[in-house]
Amino acid sequence: MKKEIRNEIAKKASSNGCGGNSASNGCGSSGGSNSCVSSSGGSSNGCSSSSGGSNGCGSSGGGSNGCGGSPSKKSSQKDIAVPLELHACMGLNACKGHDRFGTNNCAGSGYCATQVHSCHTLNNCRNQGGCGLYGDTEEQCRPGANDCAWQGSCGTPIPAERFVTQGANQGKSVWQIARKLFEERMDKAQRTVNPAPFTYGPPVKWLENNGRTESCGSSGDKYCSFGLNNPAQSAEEFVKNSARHIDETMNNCECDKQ
Amino acid sequence: MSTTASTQPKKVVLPLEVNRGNLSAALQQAIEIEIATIPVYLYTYYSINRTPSQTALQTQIFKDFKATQAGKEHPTSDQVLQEKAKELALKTVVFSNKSAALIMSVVVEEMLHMALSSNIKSACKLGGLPILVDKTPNIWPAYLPGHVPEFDINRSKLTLDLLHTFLLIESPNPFNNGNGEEGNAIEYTTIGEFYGQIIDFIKSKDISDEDFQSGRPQLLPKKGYYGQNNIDTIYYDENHKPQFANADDSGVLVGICDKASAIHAIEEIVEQGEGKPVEEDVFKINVEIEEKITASGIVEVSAEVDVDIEKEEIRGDHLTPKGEVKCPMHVGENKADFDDGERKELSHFDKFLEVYCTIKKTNEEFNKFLEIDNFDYTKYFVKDIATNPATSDYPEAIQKISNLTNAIYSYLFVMTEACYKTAGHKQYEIFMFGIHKSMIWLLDNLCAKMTGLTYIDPSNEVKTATATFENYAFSKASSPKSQIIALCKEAMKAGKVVTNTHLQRIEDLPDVALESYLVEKDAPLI
Repeated sequence: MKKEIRNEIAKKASSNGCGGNSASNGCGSSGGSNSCVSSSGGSSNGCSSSSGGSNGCGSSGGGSNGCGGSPSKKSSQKDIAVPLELHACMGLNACKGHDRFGTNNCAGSGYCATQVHSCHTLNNCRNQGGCGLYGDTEEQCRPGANDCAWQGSCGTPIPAERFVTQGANQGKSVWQIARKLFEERMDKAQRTVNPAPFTYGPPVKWLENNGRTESCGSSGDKYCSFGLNNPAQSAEEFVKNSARHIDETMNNCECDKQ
Repeated sequence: MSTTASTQPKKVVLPLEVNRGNLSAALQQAIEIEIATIPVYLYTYYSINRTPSQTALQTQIFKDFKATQAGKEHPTSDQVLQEKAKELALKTVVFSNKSAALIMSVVVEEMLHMALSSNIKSACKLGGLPILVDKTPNIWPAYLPGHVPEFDINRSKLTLDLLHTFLLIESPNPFNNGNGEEGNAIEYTTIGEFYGQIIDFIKSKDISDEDFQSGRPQLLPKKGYYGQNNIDTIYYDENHKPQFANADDSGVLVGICDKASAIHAIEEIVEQGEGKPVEEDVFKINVEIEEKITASGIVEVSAEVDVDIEKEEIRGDHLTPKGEVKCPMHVGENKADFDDGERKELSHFDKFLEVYCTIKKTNEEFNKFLEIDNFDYTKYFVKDIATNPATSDYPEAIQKISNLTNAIYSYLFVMTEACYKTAGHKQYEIFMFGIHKSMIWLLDNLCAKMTGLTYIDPSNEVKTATATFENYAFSKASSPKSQIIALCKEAMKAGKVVTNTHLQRIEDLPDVALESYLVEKDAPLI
């Protein structure tokens, strides 16, 4: 059933003119950087997965995310002809029709992630890891831009209120880092990026109202569960403060690489 | 080295010195000291309700306050009781989360210490393979191997008595409770002293830089293996701003390649546990005395004096020579209380001291306010679980979940030990796909779910179960992973706690053999 819906969305995408689905899957793969859905296994992203997974990324060997599994040689296996890009969150889609609902117009304007997982190391493929909350400093600088399966440091989607727990960027917005990395990737591919539906990413409350909850950890609601504050005001202060410091945040990540 | 209880008469024996002949045993002893603390701290962590409801707490607290006023000639008014209940409820939602975050932040660093000690042993030609499997204490109460004096260490819910034990474990100062111990372990009166003996030997001419170049695998920095903080080491203040229990500069994994790096790693362990040595001999503490009457009529006293205090006096201020706790007026005001250069992170000792003193002072405050003598602050956020339970204490259905939980806990040590048998991509896969996933997704999930289970014991009392953190004895007839899968399938039959999702995650784990020689050459790991 899910596959049918996905194919339907993919058909829309194929005629949207936003970077059509060529044989090399140019739209969804955004320069080949997240071509997890390539069908033959042993793909360029190191995911080495075959078709048939629950999220289109393809798992083999019966596991739920099967990274490292050997591609099946059974001739009856079908290729995924028109794959849908799987990405980590709102505003991180490379193409038209590649958001959760398949209705977005162009790159960067999509509503919500096309794949969902709950926590650290549970992402199936490249660029599907959320970040923040778990993982080391370097990992937390690569939300939605991890190299391979199981290397994301947290779950997806990435709420606007999620913050970095490690390094110099401690307490800064994860989604804003993800968006910045996405914009840089699109810039290299000479693609126009539209604004995200929410400037600072999807708020927890919006995600909850749309059937997706925040993931990971036992320290409580990141939005607010108690206290003397106004949660909405605190959240707004948080995202705006993160936005003011985004250049410094990205510089910190560059320093961590060195 | 075992951390089991001794049934022999106790006597004090002279400490052994670290030398070339026993360095390997001393490093293994270090590993086992670190491992012994992990189940103890984890057990307590899972006894804490990190996220109690503020509204429900306020209602419960007011009800309890009101009950203490029954029969009094001049009971405190409901308005004042409500104000205090509101105040305490807010304090509790912050403190319950904070106390758990502080304990988890210590657990994270104990795992780091286990890895640092293991790195030294692995790197040292005189050391050898770190042995991590089956090193969780089997008999409870347990003891720190080699600690003089010995003292009982229980797996217990959060209590003042238990926190006192934690303070004894992490104490920077020797104490004497009248007990001695016998055995052939390296003896020490503080963990810092134990590591100091190893440092003294490494600094000596009896060992060279070349002795630390065995070429054996280690867990190295910059590979994504270690993060000081995660979402479980943070808590929110009363304005819901996140606070981070561990500091970035307090320490990371250290690759061992010579004497200097080995010493650096050991100093990191000691400083995280006991605090960073104070550079100046004398420094000032400013304490100002001030009385303030709060809205509820309580006189709050704070003090400010300007004094010079010797380093030793400061460090000894919190634990008397008899091992009794003395709460400071201001935790964190002493330079020796911190383990990092920027003084952002309290040492393990001082993290526990803060939790201990907050509970103690809150008890005192509300005993005075309510004019009673048995106020127990922990009742509002600590689950009532048994002390030192075993899986066999539980009914069959819970036993199945407990066995699965213990098998995953034990498999973590199997996988970590395997990381010292293999380097490169295989090590990375074991660590990232096996250890992280088992810790965060499987073990944490099962431990949290187990503390929600209740059962009726043989005396017809309702009890709350919890994870027991016992060594699971894997059979050598098949791989540990296949045994965990079988346990998972059994646990799934016992109810809805363990689900197919758990099974899928377990099936994704690397298949690490109990003994490395059982691994077929080039066999796929995953």
